[in-house]
Amino acid sequence: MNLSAVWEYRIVIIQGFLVTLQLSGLAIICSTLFGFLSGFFLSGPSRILRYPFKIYVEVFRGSPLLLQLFMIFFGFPYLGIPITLFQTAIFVFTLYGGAYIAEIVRSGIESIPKGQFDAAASIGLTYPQTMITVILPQAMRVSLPPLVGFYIGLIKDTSIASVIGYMEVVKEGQAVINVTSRPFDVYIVISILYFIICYPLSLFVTWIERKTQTL
Amino acid sequence: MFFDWGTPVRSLSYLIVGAFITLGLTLAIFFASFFFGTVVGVVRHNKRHLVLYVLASAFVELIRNTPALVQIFLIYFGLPQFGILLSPVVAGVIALTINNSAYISEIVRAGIQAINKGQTEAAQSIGLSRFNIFLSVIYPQALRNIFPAMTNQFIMIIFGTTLLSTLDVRELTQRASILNSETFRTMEIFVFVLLMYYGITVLCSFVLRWINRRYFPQANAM
Repeated sequence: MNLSAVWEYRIVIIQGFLVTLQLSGLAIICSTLFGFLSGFFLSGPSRILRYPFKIYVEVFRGSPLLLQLFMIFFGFPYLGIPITLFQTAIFVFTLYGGAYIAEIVRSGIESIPKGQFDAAASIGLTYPQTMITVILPQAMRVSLPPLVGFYIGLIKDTSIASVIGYMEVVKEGQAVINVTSRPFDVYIVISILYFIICYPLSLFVTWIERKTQTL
Repeated sequence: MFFDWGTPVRSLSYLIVGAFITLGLTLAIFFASFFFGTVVGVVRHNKRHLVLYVLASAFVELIRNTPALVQIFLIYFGLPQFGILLSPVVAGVIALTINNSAYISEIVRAGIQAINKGQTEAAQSIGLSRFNIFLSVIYPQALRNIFPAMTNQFIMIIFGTTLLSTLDVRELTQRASILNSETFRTMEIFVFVLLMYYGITVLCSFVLRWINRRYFPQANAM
């Protein structure tokens, strides 16, 4: 292994890595917002609102991310709706991540005893008030470890966007391979970059799991 | 704009072959990573052999914190740098087996650790060897606890095999892409194949739940 060839093109890889970070950050923010919203509706009292979200979560958790990317990126222009790579990535990661996060939020909310809802209702809190001030703070204790665990998965999954041509670190890495002909070295460097981001988060998950278990 | 749903339907046999290839790849990866995952999980469940423990932990952390796609590329495109040429299917199965072994080892480890210490002590008191204690007392009970998590992992492997389409393995996703470039009926094909994947996951989790009920009946009573 000789990393000097890769070092020569470090700017390209770093640039790709910054794009990966940007995409990961946006994917996490958007899917968290949408996932929490869906999670509320999934565990909410309204049956009419619950079913569409149930179907959405089922379909997006029951199909592969790569195919979802293909469907939106190639399918939308086919329907006459122009869509850029960036829009595709954000749209798909929001829906894909939102579905998983909705399930995490739902199971967190359902772990709270019904008595908490009754108690909140008896002091006259409305449903949104109950959720925000009583249920969510308790549910987060259950949901936080799987939530951060899913963020790690989402960061790694942004690499799949390279398949439709998104110029993040894997795609930029392929460009570097084309000039240097050192595929192993480049992919090792890319792996290390992902590891640097994901490993601290894994440690955080372990730490927070231990902390919430003792409570 | 009108949809022609006949396009995917006319190529149904082509897609169904792809679905079976996906399923075959999944089964191969699942059983291989079940075996290696168990070995790694057993090594990691206590610190008796410290060197092995550290090596296994490093393996699990390295694999779990890097993307599967990069691991696949590393093995398929990276190893030829050292003169090791693998076919797409072999490289893909090896990469995904390595990847899933790490995840399964964590499931197995948690399953073993959840078994009461008294079980080991009871087995020791009737004179079973360490290997027998694990194989006939601890592991069957652990297996019952981890079965639902393994079902989940099976589904994740199905989704993981879609990444092999980037190596031109002709599984379901790659066949959908080929069909798309031949007919340009993009939305029909991808929606159809998406629903096929959904059907496969529903079917697989149904079968696995049935196996769970059939072979680990007490898991439901508890």
